[in-house]
Amino acid sequence: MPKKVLVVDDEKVIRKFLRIHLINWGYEVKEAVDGVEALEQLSNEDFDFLLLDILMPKKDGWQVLEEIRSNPKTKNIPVIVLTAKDEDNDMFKGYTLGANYYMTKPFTNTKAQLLYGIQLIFRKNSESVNNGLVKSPKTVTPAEAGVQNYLK
Amino acid sequence: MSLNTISYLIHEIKTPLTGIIGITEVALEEEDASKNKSYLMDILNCAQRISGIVGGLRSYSRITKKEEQSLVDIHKVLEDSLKMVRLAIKVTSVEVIKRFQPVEKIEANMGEIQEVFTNLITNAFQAMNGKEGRLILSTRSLKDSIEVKVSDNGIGIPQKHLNKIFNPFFTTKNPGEGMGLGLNIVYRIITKYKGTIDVESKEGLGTTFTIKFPIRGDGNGKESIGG
Repeated sequence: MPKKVLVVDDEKVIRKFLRIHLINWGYEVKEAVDGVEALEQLSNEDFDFLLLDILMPKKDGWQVLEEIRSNPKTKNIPVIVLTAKDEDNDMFKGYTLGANYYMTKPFTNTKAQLLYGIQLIFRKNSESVNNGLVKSPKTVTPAEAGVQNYLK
Repeated sequence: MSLNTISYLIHEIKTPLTGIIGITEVALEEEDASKNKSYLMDILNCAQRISGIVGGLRSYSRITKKEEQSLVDIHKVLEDSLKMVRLAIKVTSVEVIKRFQPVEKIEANMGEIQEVFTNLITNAFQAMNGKEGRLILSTRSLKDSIEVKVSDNGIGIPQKHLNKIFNPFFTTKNPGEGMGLGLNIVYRIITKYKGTIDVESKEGLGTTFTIKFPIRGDGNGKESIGG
């Protein structure tokens, strides 16, 4: 079964190219256009990881991240923050609130940066959280294999 | 321009720029040429957003300059602005009511006064989007000024936003639909001519902007125009 990703961004065009990459790598992709919709989807479905924008209407990414980490059901979901907020203090805030990886827009090489982020969150989870997200090398999914091949 | 404003502008430019780079990367790897048109449309939309931001900034900076002034017929400006907005926004179900009374011409830069009313009429049309709208444009002469009202029966402005709508970069529109400069430009142009602008709004019922331009006391601008 492919891993399921929730892409949260109020920009349609950004969701579009992220979706194209993720589907090509074998992921099942769901989308949310703001923080409220993201939390609704998280309460109804299980996701393997999130791509989360910060500046969004209704509820911003900081609030979403806080709520994810304070909810026992979602607290261990890996989150990659994708944002135009690129100041050191923004990045610090992101990691403090529980982001697993922080990417700043505009990306100079979306695929490489995203794949690196995904690789990193899987590795971190295999080392620190035994939540079943990362399998042994013998049972690696096609998506993970794609990530590893691309990074070689 | 404050640091907050600059940060906001940087974000507003970075977002479509991310779209251009991201979609171009996808398009370069796409083997199915039939998909390229959709990617090119995305890139064009993002580039146009950046162009709109630059255009807005140009208008924003131009207001401070002394432009050529003449006696401006406010009714002609209202008619022209209405035509321009109708061309730019395809609105079918809006009834426009004109209640023009004889008012004096004002001494101003025609382009700037037109910018005031194209912005207000555009906002009014956008507020009435999707419903049977009614736009009322009215003018009348007061003791020391002329008054213009632009009223719509659109979605209205929440009370909590009313004191912020003239601030630069304040917007409640969706990404790409506006950067929050329109009403600030309106405000700056009107105050440049020592005029005033007031707003009354009720959510769900509509909004009325009331603009007053002072009439010069030295005889200039006394040429009256019919209603």
